[in-house]
Amino acid sequence: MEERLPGQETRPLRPRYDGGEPGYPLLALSRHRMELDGEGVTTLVAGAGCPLACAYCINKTVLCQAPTLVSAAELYEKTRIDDLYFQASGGGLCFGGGESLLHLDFYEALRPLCPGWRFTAETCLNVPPETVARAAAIFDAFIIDVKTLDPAIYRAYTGREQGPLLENLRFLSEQFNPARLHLRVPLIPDYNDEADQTKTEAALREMGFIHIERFPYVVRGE
Amino acid sequence: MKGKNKCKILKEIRQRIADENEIPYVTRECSYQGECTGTCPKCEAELRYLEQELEKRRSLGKTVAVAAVAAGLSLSLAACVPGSGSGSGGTNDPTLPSLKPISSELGGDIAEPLMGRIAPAETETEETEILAGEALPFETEPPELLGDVVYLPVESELPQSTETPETTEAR
Repeated sequence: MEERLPGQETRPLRPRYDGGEPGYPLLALSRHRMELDGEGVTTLVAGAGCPLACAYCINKTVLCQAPTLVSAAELYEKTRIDDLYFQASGGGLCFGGGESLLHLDFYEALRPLCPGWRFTAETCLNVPPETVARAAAIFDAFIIDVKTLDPAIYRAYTGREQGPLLENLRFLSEQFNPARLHLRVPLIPDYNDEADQTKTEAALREMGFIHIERFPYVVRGE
Repeated sequence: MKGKNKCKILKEIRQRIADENEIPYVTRECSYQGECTGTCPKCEAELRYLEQELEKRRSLGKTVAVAAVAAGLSLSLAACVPGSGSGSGGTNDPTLPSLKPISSELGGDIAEPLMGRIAPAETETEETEILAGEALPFETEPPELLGDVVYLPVESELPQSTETPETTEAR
């Protein structure tokens, strides 16, 4: 059995309060993002919880349970300030953190409150296949942090097995608009090399993915 | 994207919304020389003005046009700019500082590391000043929400859960 850190979850979290309404463990909002989280003007919504424990995680706080939850109505109130920008530019909310797909109940409650907003999920896809199938009906786009398809490198870097990653990638490649799937294949210092990047990218293209970004992680000192 | 480029694009979006809906709108060139987050009072006031004007038109039964009026604007759209490590809010811009914990000296209940693209700083002192100005705890209603960087919920301002959040499915 894999050892897990607190907050390192593999199945959807269902945090609730106020009699059952789904809540979201909000860590941060970042407004007016462009070129980072999908089309248009975007607000990044970062939440707690992640199944992985990446060596170079830049948001390690996501592994701690957030102290408070917000309801769908509350998050809408906090983000609607940019409604005009979202609608005019084709932007909206990008959910990350953290593994965004841990909070599907919440998004299903939020979505009807936000007509005309694009919902983008940043995900590692290392979640149960039924979660991805459900998420495909909620989100307009996915940014998928694949990392590597080499099982040993993946395990060493993330602290976890690939699990259903491949199955989930295949599902999205077959069932989702490829133009709205953006995959990240990083060069991870001390873990993989360009040959591994090339191999991973080739496998992803074979599956039918179009938008694949290769780039080096910039590792900074503590 | 940051600074004046971001400000310029947001202004262009506002202009297009105004033009599409025949809303009188004249904006002046901002004279501020420092780093711009697009959330200065002037920009926010202009956005609120447009909202009010659109609402007036709706109340008169007029059709308003907002959706995708700026969709062609060149602001996106690589969609997937790489990050400095795993997790959201990264950037591949080596001139940007790594994400550091925001100390409680900045006020509020801030204690955890945060994510998001933050303005570059040449010195620790300068960075602290930038964060102090932008990384505010959520103390006001949404129209006054500052940032481009960070929101942190303050426990006392949110509904309190009477029980531990359910995570039974994960166990």
